[in-house]
Amino acid sequence: MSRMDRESAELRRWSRLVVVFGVLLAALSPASPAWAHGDGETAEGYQLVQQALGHLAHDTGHTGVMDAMEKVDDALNTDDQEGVDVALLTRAQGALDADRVSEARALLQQSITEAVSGLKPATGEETGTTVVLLPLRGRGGLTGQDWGFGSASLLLLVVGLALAVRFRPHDNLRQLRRQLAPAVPPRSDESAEVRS
Amino acid sequence: MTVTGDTSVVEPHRRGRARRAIDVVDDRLGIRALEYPVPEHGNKLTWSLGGVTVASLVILIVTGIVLVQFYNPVPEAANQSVRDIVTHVWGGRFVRSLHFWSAQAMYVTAALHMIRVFLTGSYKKPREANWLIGVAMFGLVTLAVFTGTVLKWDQEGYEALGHNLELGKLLGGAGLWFSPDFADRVPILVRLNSAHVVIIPGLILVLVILHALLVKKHKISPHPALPTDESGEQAPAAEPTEPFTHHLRRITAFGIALLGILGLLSVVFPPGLGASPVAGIEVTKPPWNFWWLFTLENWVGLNGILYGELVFFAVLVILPFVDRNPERYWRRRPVAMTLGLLLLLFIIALTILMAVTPAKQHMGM
Repeated sequence: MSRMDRESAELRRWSRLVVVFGVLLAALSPASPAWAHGDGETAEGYQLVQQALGHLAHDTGHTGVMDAMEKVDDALNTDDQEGVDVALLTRAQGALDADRVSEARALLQQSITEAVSGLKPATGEETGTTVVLLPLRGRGGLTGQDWGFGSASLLLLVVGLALAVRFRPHDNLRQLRRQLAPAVPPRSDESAEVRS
Repeated sequence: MTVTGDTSVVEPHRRGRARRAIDVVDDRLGIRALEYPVPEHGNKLTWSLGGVTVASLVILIVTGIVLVQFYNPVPEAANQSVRDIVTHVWGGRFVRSLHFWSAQAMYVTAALHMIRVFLTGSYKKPREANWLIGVAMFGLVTLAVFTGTVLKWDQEGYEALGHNLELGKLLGGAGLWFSPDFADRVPILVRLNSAHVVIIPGLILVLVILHALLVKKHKISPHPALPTDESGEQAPAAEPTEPFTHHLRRITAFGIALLGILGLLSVVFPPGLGASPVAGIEVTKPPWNFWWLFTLENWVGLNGILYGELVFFAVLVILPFVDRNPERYWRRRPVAMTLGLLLLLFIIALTILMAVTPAKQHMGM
């Protein structure tokens, strides 16, 4: 089989593969897409308050505050307000209106103290979250411990590189090519590759 | 020392104490079986990426053993226990950070290893089964990254879990394990923890051993820019060889250097931890390893993740059976190279798209 025949056969095989996958995808794709997150709606007041806290934990800017206010509104209007201190919730709403985010966070957390204290141990996919803790930064300034670990790591890097050079193969690709050349004549395109 | 052919004569004149000690051990454990010859090109960095991946795995296992001493997989305590590791355990932030960066390294080096195998046609006859084992290991590494993300039990981890639960539903019976109903009295976090610390690494270790045994059986594939033997499947007998122990020695050197790099990254860029998880909101992006899938989700919904992943792994699985071109040199495989490049560019483009898409835009669809 000539090289062109081989390439042509290879192209046909790959083309069939692409077509098969295309058909499979088209057959498997539903008419309307499903989304993982849905609309996140819940009627439980304390969960709505937690969602407000979640928004504030991730974004204290305008968008985060707006999303949180929407959740607080929902919590104030839902029928299921068991364990939620509505008075504190209303104060939290006012704090959000006034853009006092830290105060709003504290009030929101306080407003669901009773609800989260009565939660049973989490099962299934329940979060088990009672207090919404803020994100923890990777690090602050470098400590003595950081300098110690950093220095040891640098030393390991130097030692590792030195050993890698020490134990490198004796022949590079060009030398190997030269050694093996008498057995098989070099091919023009491969020689170019070796040179590069 | 470079040798050709029989390696039983390697350095017979050096009989120091260390050598005698090795002899004593060898008499009992047969460790000299590791001195089988490896073609010299196998010691190049690009051909040692599998070994570097194993080095990452070793770092992951060691740091993981430390972390499980302090991590509490109960939902009420998981997030706080990670905070405690970072803030109260001596060296805890560094160990956690090293675990994180080792996971990134393992993912990247495994991917690079697979790309090298693709470029050099090393998956071709008779090495198809070993390619499949490699694909399975890459799938397990992806699962390990996913479960590790969930174990932090912050908003990012919880949202990743939420996606996975929905994917489990789409899979029907096949996704039962990922359903909270599978063991409804046990938090799914506890089950994912067992998967992350026992099942997945255990399976990876078993496959690593199989992978290594098959590499030994079929030998390192020939370098496509060098001549092959008559079968076209092996390096020529004339190519210099080195004992496999020398290959291990070089991989160890790469592993030490990698540990240094990861240690520096761990000090300078330790990962943070997100806020406690809250159900019903989506405000984070997934880890970068999954960004291309989430762009697909933005386009076509949850099915995009499922079918994107299925198609990706299906392509990898059938590759050696579809690509029957015996050529290994990339210039003589224009179709495979073009399609491989297109797939890679597609994934990179989707990843970049997610990188520039605000997290909020991913919400509320």
